[in-house]
Amino acid sequence: MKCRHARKIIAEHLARDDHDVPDELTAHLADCARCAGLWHEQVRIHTALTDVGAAPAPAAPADLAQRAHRRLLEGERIPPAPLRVVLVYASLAAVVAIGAIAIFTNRARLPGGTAPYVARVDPVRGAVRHAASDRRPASDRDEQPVPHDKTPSPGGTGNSLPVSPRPAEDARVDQQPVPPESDQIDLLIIVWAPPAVTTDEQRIPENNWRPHTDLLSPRSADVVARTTLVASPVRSPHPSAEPSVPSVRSAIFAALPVQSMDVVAELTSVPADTELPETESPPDPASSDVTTAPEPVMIVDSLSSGGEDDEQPCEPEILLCVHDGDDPVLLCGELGLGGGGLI
Amino acid sequence: MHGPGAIAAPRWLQLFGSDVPPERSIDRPNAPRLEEDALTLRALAGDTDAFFALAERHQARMYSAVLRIVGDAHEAEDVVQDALLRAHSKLKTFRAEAALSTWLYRIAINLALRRARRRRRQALQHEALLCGPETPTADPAAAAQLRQRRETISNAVQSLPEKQRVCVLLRYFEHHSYDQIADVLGISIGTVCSRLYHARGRLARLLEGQL
Repeated sequence: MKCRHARKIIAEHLARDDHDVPDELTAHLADCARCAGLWHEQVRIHTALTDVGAAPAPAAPADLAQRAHRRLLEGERIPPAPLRVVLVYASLAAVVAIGAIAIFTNRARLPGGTAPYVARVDPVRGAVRHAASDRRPASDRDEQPVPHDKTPSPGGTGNSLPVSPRPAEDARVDQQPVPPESDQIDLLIIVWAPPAVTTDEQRIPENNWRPHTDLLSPRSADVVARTTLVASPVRSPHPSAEPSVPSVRSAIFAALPVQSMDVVAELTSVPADTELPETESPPDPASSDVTTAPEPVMIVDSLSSGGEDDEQPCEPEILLCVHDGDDPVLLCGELGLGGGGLI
Repeated sequence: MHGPGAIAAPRWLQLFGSDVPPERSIDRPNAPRLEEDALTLRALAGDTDAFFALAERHQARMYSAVLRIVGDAHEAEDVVQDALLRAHSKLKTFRAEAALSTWLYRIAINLALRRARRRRRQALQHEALLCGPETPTADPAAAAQLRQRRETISNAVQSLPEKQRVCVLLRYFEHHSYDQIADVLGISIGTVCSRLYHARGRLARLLEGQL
């Protein structure tokens, strides 16, 4: 028998008030002086306590229960819980409330959250077409922003382009609120050059490639600084009209209120000849409002692939897509062309 | 008089069955079991008079244990009355896992421990264990020696950690079985054994050379 087992038997033996010591314990105690000393110690204290405890119990008042009954009949309330208990429960309730508020707030700040000010575009491609197909003058659009929903455009053609180039100061952006910062946000900037730009002579100087600064608000700049930024070169049926990646990069970067070298590095890492994910064929005018599922990397190709609007000069658009998983939030606007230049 | 503590009939029947072994309830040894059960049933049905009649049967033992814990007679009376009122108001939460008397005892012990913790921060009364009457002896010298011995042991017991002290109180001063202690304190019998074993070891070190 091991000493540990012997001590367990000692404890249980005293618990049972059993006067017969097990043989195995007796044998172990004969061999182990330490356990024997422990045994005698336990028995000695047990005996002493039993002797002291044999004294009569203090007499209780005979009317204790009756007094309690009287207190009950007199309508006396139960003594209130100790202040400590109240404080503990109040603290717990406060922590739970703060936690709930924090969770609610964080959910509201996420793009996928339920915040009413975060407009979601789903799918993105459909919304892009819808915004681009607005034929109304910019002033009208100022007064009545185009909703990003599935409602067919008033023109009904679907492949229409902006009527005419607008000065940068007049150009307005169909801007949706930028979601606040989130570690889960991926940022994708897509620059789209319309096919109306066909000749090298009309190519806009690089310094005129500048998105509206109000499109890239300080808030979005924070997002950009912390997330992956991908600028795709322009996908246009007319390669000669495509601006180079550096021009896009400098244009976007110049528009950022916050000069971030990280952003520059990210943009630089996208070479001009990067093979971009294949996009669908140019949109069919009749199905311009048909929605498609958003892709992980969304490339918006030329929105006009033919028809009478091809000859219409239009402004390049910048599409700023902030998405979290399957819930993209799209910002779309037009690049301002200073000096009335045409691409 | 019927209070708010009435519960459904199927719960009552558990008390008549073998769910509660007689040896696990803290009864007076000579208390008629059937009478106790009948009072319990009436109390659970909302009969306040039956509840306090049942409480009257157990008030002495409740008071004794509470007095040994809190160390003050007036405070012990308050604790017992508060425990009875609290038990009456919470009667519908009684789950019949043990005898109603054990439940009453448990409430009283918990309240007493709470009061004792508060008192311990103020002033500890080491003579709390010796609140019983003196045992009459013919030999004054022997009586003085016995009293000295009791005080020594009482002081040592009071210096034990609370969990061990309560187990020693209930075991050696209130003469509860290990099963009853486990029921009252809501712990396992093994834990009771362990606490008493360590309490005896600690007392042996505290009382070394004094016994």
